[in-house]
Amino acid sequence: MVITPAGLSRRRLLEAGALAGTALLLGGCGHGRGRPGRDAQTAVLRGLLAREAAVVAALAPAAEGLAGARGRRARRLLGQDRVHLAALSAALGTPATAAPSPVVPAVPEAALAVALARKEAALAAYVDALPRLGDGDLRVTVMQIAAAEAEHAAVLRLLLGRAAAPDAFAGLA
Amino acid sequence: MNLVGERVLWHFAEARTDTALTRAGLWLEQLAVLSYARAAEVLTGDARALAERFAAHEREHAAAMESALQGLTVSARNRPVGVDVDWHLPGLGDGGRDHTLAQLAELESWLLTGYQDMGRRVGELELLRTVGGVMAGGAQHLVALRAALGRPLAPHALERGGAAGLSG
Repeated sequence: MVITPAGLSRRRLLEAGALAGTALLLGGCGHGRGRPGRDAQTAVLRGLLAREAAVVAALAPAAEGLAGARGRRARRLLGQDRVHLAALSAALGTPATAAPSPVVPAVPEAALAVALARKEAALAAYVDALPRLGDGDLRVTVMQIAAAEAEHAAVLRLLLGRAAAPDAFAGLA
Repeated sequence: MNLVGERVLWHFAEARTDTALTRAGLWLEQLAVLSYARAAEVLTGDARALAERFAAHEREHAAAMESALQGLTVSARNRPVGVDVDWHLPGLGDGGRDHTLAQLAELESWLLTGYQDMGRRVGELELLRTVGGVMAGGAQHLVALRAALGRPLAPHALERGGAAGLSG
């Protein structure tokens, strides 16, 4: 089965379920069939690490520049993103390194909007990664990070004066 | 683990196949629809609007899970009814605005934990695209509910839901 990795739409979420079943029928009923190998898993983790580094790069100027409760909330998210970096690095068995990242606006409000966009992209990447991780414990870790990233996106929307949960699938639709 | 956690996670714990895990997710999403709808009947103002909006989201989650189940060439066996809401969230709506919202947060939180259990155990990994999207939607519901309750919005770097011991 081939489902392109870029982004998820509501239709694709629905279709993915149907396609999954079709593949199950075509491939037989065994569990563990066609599990991703270690090399493929490593490549997935490297991609997620780069996504997370881009989020940190965008959130840092907002966290440092915003005052009061908004600044505290942004700094809390930034601290949690660094935990995500550490968790992904631990899974890869390599120390986290600062990856080059596109330029981020120095104005905190603008940086916040960029951080939200990168959070949403990172969330899509985490969800997309799940079927490509053969290790069950690692899938749980990625799901825990994905859930936190979904929450972060909701918090950033609140900081930008928007609704926390504007749609059913966390912006993936 | 509290009573809500025990009763929500039981559905996943009992499931031994991908079909059963998906059925558990579908049934619990349908339960969430009923729970938000019941909450909306007793809430007012912004809280009521939130419950109505999230009930609609849960219908979409249930539709996604049902589609996944149909993809496995099976259908739903049964649907939850009002008494199931009473069993999973005793007294929902009887305790005032904050208590009602806290119960809904509890449900969302344990659902999130259940989906992560499913993520560890599922055999057909493509199911996790659907599950991941539904789980992310639930996580954002949690933030909105925490905001309405004046609680920390995102308390954990690794969100484990009810398993973290802080479901609200």
